[in-house]
Amino acid sequence: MADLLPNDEGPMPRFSVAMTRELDAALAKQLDRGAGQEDLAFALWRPSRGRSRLTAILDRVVLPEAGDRVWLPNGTVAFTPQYVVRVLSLADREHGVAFLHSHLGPGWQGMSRDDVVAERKRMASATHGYTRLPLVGMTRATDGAWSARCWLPDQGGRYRRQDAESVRVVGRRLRQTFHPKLLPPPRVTAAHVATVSVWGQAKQAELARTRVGIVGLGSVGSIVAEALGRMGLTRLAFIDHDRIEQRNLDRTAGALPQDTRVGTPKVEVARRHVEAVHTADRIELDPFHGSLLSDGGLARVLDCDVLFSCVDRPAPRHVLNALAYAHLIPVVDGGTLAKVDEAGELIHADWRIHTVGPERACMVCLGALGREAITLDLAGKLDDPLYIQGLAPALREQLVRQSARQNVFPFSLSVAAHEVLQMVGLVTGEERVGGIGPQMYHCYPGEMCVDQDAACSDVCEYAALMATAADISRNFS
Amino acid sequence: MTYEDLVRHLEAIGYTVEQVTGQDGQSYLVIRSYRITVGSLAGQTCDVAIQRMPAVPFVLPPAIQTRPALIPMGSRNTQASGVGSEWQYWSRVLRVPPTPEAIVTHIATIFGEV
Repeated sequence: MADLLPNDEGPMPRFSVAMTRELDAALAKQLDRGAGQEDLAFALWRPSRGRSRLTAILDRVVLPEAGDRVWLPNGTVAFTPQYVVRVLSLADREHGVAFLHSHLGPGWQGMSRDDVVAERKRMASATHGYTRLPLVGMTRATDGAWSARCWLPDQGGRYRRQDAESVRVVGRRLRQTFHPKLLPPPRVTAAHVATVSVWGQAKQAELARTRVGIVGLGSVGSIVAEALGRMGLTRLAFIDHDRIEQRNLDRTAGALPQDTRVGTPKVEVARRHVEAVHTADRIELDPFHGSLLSDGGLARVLDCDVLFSCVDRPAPRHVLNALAYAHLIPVVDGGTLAKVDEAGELIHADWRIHTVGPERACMVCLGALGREAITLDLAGKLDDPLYIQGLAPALREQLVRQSARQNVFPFSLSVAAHEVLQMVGLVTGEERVGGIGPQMYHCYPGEMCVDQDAACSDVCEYAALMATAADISRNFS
Repeated sequence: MTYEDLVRHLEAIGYTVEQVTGQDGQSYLVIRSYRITVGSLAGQTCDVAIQRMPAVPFVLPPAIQTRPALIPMGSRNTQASGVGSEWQYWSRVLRVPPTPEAIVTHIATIFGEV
């Protein structure tokens, strides 16, 4: 799979599949025949290349037409050559081919001899030869669980199978099926008794295996990191280019006075702290001391299943907002706004927490991220005081307020807590934990408001990227 | 929307567009002989340049540039332009989704407010 990945410096490549809930529903309609009958379909996919993972993002279903299938005894079914030819005619150099069929049992599915023959011998070579991307095989179980693999070119014109570690269906909930051997459920220990008593072992097993990236390890991100480590999550990535300074000590979990003397990278503080407090038997931490807006930073977030956006700058939030839709990786985002008058008296303090991605409103449509700020940051104008001074007063005040450092520790605690709750709700489907929509908290009078009708506009440029696996690196290259 | 979608739309509604490289080395889309129809500049014709930003999704840059300079340099948030010495930079940010139609309206609005 080396030719499919941006670099070979990382660990052995992993494989995953992602699709929207809408596409999953269309496939369910086709494949869930019931009454002992299997069925099949094809789909087209686009590659999303991380540092250590290739994700096949299913983009489009190609349903069978008359003469595309042959019904066989015992409820099985086969495709005809004309179906494969039609699918290949719809593929192009940006798409690979996925073959999907149903099985008559629940959970992650193995492959029968006939399944292997159909995928490896009948299709792997033809689809790889035409698209230069490996054939993806997928099996849908009776409980809606997906299993997947891809077929990689090997020596002597043969193809070898690489199983996916997970299949992700992304909608308001992130529904994941994990390979039982590649990603078995981590052991629940005595340290997890209280956590498991609330949402149970099955949901804990989903949470614990979810690969979570935290972008920005400052006040909010460092607390999120500690929370996830204590909750028993086992796979975390940290991305931040910054180092600890004295002004960070009042709000960064795990930061020590000696870190200011040597300028410890924030990701190293997070790694050290989570290593010390985590409760899982084993935890995999991937700290990256660098910007999200770099090949290394972007590759690491594309390895993740869920992201936390704990950065203030508009450009990285624009990138995260885009990849939530384009690469089907939900992003939990939040921020505080404290308004202080000229005498230094607090007028009001508010904070907001929301999750963006398929079936949810994006940061821009929520009003949490302004197009003006994105434009100016990408154009390099946001750090130009003369330019900012020349802007209209309302926009200037908005930008100045956005850049103010208002992350008082108790504010950050609250934002981080609600961000983690939203992530738990996203992964487990437990709305009684995560709530039902974007949240806005007003310190006075002390009220949490929820906008359960939030949605992207019909012309939202971020939602338009859905499942395209668009090259987000163009924002900084 | 993509940069190519914008070019197609401008050509479809009758504009002649071309790509140029400015003196600053940046790539620009230039609308030739844009005729201003509203505001105090109505009736004048100018070239309009839009810097090509490689952002995904599409982001309209925070300014348009005109040749010739239409108003005194420095007034109304204008300044010298990186496209070239004959050009004038108009600092204006689009605040709505950058559809081709919205960008055409944005350009007209910039001149209409003069």
